[in-house]
Amino acid sequence: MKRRGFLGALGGCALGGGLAARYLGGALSAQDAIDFAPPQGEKQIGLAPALHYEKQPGLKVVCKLCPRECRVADAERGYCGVRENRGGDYYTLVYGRTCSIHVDPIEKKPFFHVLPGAAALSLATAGCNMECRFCQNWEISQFRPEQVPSVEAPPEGVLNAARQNQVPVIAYTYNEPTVFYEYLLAIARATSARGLRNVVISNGYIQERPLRELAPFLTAYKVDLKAFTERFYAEQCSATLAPVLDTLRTLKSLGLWTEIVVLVIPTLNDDEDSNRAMFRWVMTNLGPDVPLHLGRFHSTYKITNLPDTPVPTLERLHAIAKEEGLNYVYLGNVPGHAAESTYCPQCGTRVIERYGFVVNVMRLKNGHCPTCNLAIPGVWA
Amino acid sequence: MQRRDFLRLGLGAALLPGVAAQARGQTPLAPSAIEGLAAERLLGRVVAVADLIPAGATLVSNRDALPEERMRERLNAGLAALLGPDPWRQLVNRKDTVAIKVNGLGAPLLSPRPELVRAIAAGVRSAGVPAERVIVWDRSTRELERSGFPLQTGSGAERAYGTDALRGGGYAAELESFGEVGSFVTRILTDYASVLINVGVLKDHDLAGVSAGMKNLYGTIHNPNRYHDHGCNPYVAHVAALPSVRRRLKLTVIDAVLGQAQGGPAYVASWIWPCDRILLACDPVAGDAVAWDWIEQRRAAAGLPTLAEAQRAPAWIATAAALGLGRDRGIRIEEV
Repeated sequence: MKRRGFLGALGGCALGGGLAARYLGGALSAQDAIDFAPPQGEKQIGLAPALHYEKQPGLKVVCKLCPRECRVADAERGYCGVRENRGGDYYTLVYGRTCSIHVDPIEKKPFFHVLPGAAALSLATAGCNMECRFCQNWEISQFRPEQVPSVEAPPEGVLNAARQNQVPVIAYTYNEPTVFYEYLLAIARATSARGLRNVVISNGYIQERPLRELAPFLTAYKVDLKAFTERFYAEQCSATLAPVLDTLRTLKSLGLWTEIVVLVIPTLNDDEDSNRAMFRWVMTNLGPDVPLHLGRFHSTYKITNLPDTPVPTLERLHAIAKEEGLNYVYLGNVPGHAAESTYCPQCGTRVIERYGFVVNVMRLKNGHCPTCNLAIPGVWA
Repeated sequence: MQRRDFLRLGLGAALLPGVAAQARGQTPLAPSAIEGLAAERLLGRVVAVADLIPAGATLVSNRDALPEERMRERLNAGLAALLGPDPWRQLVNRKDTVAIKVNGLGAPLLSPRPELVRAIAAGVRSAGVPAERVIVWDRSTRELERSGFPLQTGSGAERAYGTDALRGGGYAAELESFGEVGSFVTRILTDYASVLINVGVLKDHDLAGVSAGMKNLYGTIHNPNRYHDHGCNPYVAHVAALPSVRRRLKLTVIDAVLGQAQGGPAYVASWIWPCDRILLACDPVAGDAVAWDWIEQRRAAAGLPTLAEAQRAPAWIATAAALGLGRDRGIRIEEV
């Protein structure tokens, strides 16, 4: 597995000399063709006081941001790699610095029931509080901030960028937004007060208190429900399932618009029984109107030995989800499939017609089916 | 500290059966030094270099430096006791590029003493390795500089820089895995160095129990924060077993001039004691096993609970032994 894209391009420069060292026992020229970078110091770090932690004796802290509750000694970092104990005070290292910022269609997040066709200014930092072996953004999520090129982007700068690009939505995505909570909260506060919408694309691994603090500034929350077994979470994500379910219940109680994504991975989480149990749980705890996206897996990061998810597998799970009573079930990463579109659960009219991330036809009228006038739940304006 | 010919590590005994089962079916590994330097002679052997602190001197941190010349003499004597005559040439040859990994987490007050690291670098150079091929390094240049090694990237002198001084972040493009660990390894190892000398500090660690030798190898990978659960077990052992690390690690040096029995990994003055030793081992597991024992002795003397009672016994030492990286029992300590 190789680091791709910008990281790979930056990192490969000195490989010639390196390969020589590897195979020839260090037979380099006296000058050693070491490829140094300009000194960075802490320029890659966006230092700011962290929220949601407790101080303990001996300069230790316990992070209360995510369910891990990392106990962090002085000079150490939490599991996420972006929060550091400095002399008994806890800091975020990614405040005001983003390693990825650009405009995406909101369907790419995916949100299918939030402002269809809207552009979303999407940003990320380094770090994550899970390590999913199938992470599609591992080049940033599995690295520390100083290991990933980033740019300065204070909250006001993000607001200005959204305005200049005439973008109505800011999406916190690519890595896990919980780990840049302070930055996210500051941007969401600043931009929601000025009429912009904020949406979070998350693994749901956040404690209830910070989630409730953040929620008033958000329009929608997407949760990756990785699977429905603790074993999968432990073995594939180095995490636990129960707190994610707690987050989904909290989102329901908050009335915050929520969509769920399940990435279906052959042999690992594609069995019918556990998925049926998941759909039943969603139905019982969240209701029939939560959009459920069943995503197609492509090999990446630490899982490179499995094939792409067969489309019939996705279709079978789609059918089971419908059997369990869910009204809005979609297939993802299958461009052109009929299940990319939204259908009225009452009369079957295709109310939003999509191809990939593009909305081809929008038939909803003020959030209602044009045929039978059923209200389709979502954030439509 | 009394000289002992045999170290009995009863603390680790209870941990072994499970770990052995875990390792069952795996091909035993061996550190490169053991493979290259006659296995039976070095497995389970540790040399403790003593009498480094001048009579009457009081040391409380790294700011209290020791005489350079005596440090070199004592280090060379210890290494000769471990390896025999002309020890540096047994470890390295003039074609090697030698990476000396320090540990700046507790710097500037508690990190491998610059005078010790300089003595190691001088020893490496005495074997004919040019200055440019001696790299004193750590994860970041910032930590390295705090440890007393200013950034040095030019020719004509030993180099000193952090992984982050390399273009592109400093980590290899290829993911490396062993057991529970999957990481990118510093290009200082994968691209440049043929030999690794690991220089740690004798100290307590809040999560790992002990930070001395192998725990310092967390500094070779990009994501050490992923591997602190379960008392860092089996992660410390699995990081040490990563091919790019294991194949280069020739010597473990543990600076125990000052030790810290509690409150690590950061420096806490109240738990510092003058251990007045340097540990040398080609067997990294044996080095850590002795370090653990010394920490326990000091904790007992200070009225502290054992690390097992504190729920942080370094079980990863037994894991490393079960993998074949070295021995954690039947260790012979020679005091010099």
